[in-house]
Amino acid sequence: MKFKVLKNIISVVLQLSLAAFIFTMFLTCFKPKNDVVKWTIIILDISLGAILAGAIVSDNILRRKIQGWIQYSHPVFSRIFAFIVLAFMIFIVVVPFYIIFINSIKTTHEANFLEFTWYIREGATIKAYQDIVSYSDLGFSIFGGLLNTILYSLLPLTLGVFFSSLSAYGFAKLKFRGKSVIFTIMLFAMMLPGCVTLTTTYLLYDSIHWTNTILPLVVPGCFGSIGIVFFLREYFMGVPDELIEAATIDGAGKLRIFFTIMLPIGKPAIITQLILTFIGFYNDYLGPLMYLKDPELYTLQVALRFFSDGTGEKNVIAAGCMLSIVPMLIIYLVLNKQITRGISISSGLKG
Amino acid sequence: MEHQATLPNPKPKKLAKKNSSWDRFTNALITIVPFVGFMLFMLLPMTVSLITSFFEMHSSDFSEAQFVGFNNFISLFSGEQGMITLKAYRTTLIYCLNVPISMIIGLVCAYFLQKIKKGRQIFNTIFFIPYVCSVVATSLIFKMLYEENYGILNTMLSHLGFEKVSWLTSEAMFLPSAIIMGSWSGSGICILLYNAAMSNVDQSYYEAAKIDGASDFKMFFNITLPAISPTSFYLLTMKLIGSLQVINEMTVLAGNSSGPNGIGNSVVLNIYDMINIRLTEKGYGIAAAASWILALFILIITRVNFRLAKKWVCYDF
Repeated sequence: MKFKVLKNIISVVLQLSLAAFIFTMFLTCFKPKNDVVKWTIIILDISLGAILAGAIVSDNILRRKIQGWIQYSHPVFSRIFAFIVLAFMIFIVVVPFYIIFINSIKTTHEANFLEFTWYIREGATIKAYQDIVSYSDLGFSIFGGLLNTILYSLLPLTLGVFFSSLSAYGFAKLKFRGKSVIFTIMLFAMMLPGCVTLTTTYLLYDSIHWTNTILPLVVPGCFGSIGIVFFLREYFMGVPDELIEAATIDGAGKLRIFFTIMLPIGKPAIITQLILTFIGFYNDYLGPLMYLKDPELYTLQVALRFFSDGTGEKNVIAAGCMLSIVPMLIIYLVLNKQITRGISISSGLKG
Repeated sequence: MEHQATLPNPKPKKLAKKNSSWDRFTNALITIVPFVGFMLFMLLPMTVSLITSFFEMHSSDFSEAQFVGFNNFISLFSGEQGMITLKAYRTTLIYCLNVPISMIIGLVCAYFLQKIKKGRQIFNTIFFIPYVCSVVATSLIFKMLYEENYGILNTMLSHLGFEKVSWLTSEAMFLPSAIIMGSWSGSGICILLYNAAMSNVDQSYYEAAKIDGASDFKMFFNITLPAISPTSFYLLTMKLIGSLQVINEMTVLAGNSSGPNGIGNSVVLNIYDMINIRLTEKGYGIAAAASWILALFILIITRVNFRLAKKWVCYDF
């Protein structure tokens, strides 16, 4: 028993030294300022590498000599090391958000002219946010962009998801000629790279004078999206046929069946698709960039981009980023389960 | 009373029309709305794109187009434009390195996530946050991180005793910076999918391996990796196709220019410039030709990917 614990302490120490070794190897990419640093890194590197090599060699020799031991680590130690690694990863994920948050609260002088520190030196202020609200030089504002984004997304969200779910119902339960042909074509369509349509959609919209309006952003979404059709079709195919036959015998037509049976059953999936579509719309950058020229029509992402190009003040840019991230963050944290489940299912995993 | 001599349940009129052609027609009508949208907004532009790639067009007036045959395709690869095209492909292919990096990060995080039991949901939630943040916000955040004098990375490096690195202003470091940013935001979905896939692996495999005396590493490489290879394949395909068409990260990271010495010029950014800034010089025709060449490239890579997949993806678990 004692040997087992000792062996597992050694394994954790070795894992930590492996992490340190990787870190020092990574540090050799950078140019050291003076010789002291350079030689420290080199000595650390070589010694850690020697320890690890020795451990691997001795582990192989030991394993051949002593057959009876079972080689896995003691669970408590593994969990501790896992926590350490995961905490480090969390740190890497969270640090950029923390930086944005801190920068948006700092005073203008501290954010732009002093070196970056983790704590606030000149007192917290919301001047950056006030600046954003009162910034009207460029003809648009971040809040206007946010409003625009929400407004433009209303029609594609409702109509698009409605038509997609109707279509999914049709593919799942209804019969008509050519159903499988159309379905195969749609399957094929999902694999096409989207880049070929980039230039020509702009060309076509320009020839019918739809550029500089919101129509290119709103209209395609209203027809429904093929991904949603596939997702919901799987869902609707699980509805038992007897239910539908019973409703038909009672005299319900197709649409009535859809509204009274399919929609309630498919509600979680439809809500998930609504959320995911909204997230896609909110984060869309290239579309609004190409088609909107009037500053008043800008969506949030485009407004943020041009806003950051216009000012050089870091705290104001950070405040703008916060304004664009926080709504999405709130939506994600509240609806976390639906979003992750929707993404998992649509990439083929069950549950 | 005489009515009892007739059939007890006469068929209602509605059921008699069940398989009629009108019925089928309305079925088709409500089902093909997204398909109509696909035809209008994807198939139609694609055919027009194919046709215009043989013309030279400098405005959206279709009557002004001149037929040039294969000249567009040839001029994409000759002379100065050829150098730009090759450089753009090089940039895009180097940017695609963020795909294996984010997959490896996802693997490592999912491996350690499997070892802990309680905090898994919280870790999953936090890891996925970069994925839902928009490209613009992420790029602005990283622009602040990478800033030469006041950015956090350079301040930390100088405290540790290293010289400051010009992340976004030097030609050598621009693409690695973009790759780091791409893998930061792209790891979220890798962790999510790998975690779900690893949870679905049958535990009896691991128990049998432990009895046979396998170490942790051996179990990981011989059981876990093959078991989650379908997920790896899906992630690789999707992310590769997305990374080959990168444009958003490059525009925002580089500001208004296309990176130091033009190295931030990815293929799609090149195409977008052709219709935006350099319309009179290049035009819609050559842009369409360039986008079809990229589409061909993507199709070839996807085909190679599928072919190679037969060797390392196992669906038997």
